[in-house]
Amino acid sequence: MNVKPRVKVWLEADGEGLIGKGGAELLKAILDEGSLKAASEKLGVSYKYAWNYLRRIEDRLKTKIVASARGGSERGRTVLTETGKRLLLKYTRFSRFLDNALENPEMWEACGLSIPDKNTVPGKVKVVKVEGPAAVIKIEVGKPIEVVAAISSDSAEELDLKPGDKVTVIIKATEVMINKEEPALT
Amino acid sequence: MKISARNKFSGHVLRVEREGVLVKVLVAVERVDEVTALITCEAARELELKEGDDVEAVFKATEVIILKDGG
Repeated sequence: MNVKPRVKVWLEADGEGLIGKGGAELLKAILDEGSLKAASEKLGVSYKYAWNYLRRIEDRLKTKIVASARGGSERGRTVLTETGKRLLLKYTRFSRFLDNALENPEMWEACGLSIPDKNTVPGKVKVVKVEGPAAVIKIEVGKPIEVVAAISSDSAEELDLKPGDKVTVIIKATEVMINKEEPALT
Repeated sequence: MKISARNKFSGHVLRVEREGVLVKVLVAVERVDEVTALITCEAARELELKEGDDVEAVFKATEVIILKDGG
């Protein structure tokens, strides 16, 4: 099973929802089509639904986000006002930023979810010593070699660590130091 | 010199690879396969690291992450 995290973006004004993905699609369609009728057809929603949707945003913002020509040769044309364009741009930029963040391994590393250049060593828990907020775990990674890990008691509890448990030890390569003994002087 | 780090693995340098401003050092540790250390080029130069050198891979206990298998 391929499990993937997703994010949903929406814009709010004073705690009230303005536009989400659907709203941004509607504004984009109006920008492209220059008509509310064509835009709603493109998205497969009714004209009335689209119109009400826009009205709700305008009520909340107390300003117009679309402008319609009332007559003449431009009759039926609907365009985004400057506010409408800014709203769409803000949504697009923000969701693009988050999409990029999801693709960025450094961001995953920051969450401790994926670490490039890591050492993963299988081992068996030998000792679990919990004292106050900290826990010291000793893990045998190859007889008689042990890795000592200092983690929070919460983590130890969450993992329900006990002697005999099979675990994987991870150490970021950037956290490993190299010690080279000076050759003895004769 | 004494060091507080709880984890010290003795081994020998298998390979030294340059990766931009960093150097990847692969240390063969008996019974633990190999351990990778990413250190700066400057550090590698100062230690005159080369294949076959006897070294220790050292890391603090607080830098260890534990994953429970099947959990």
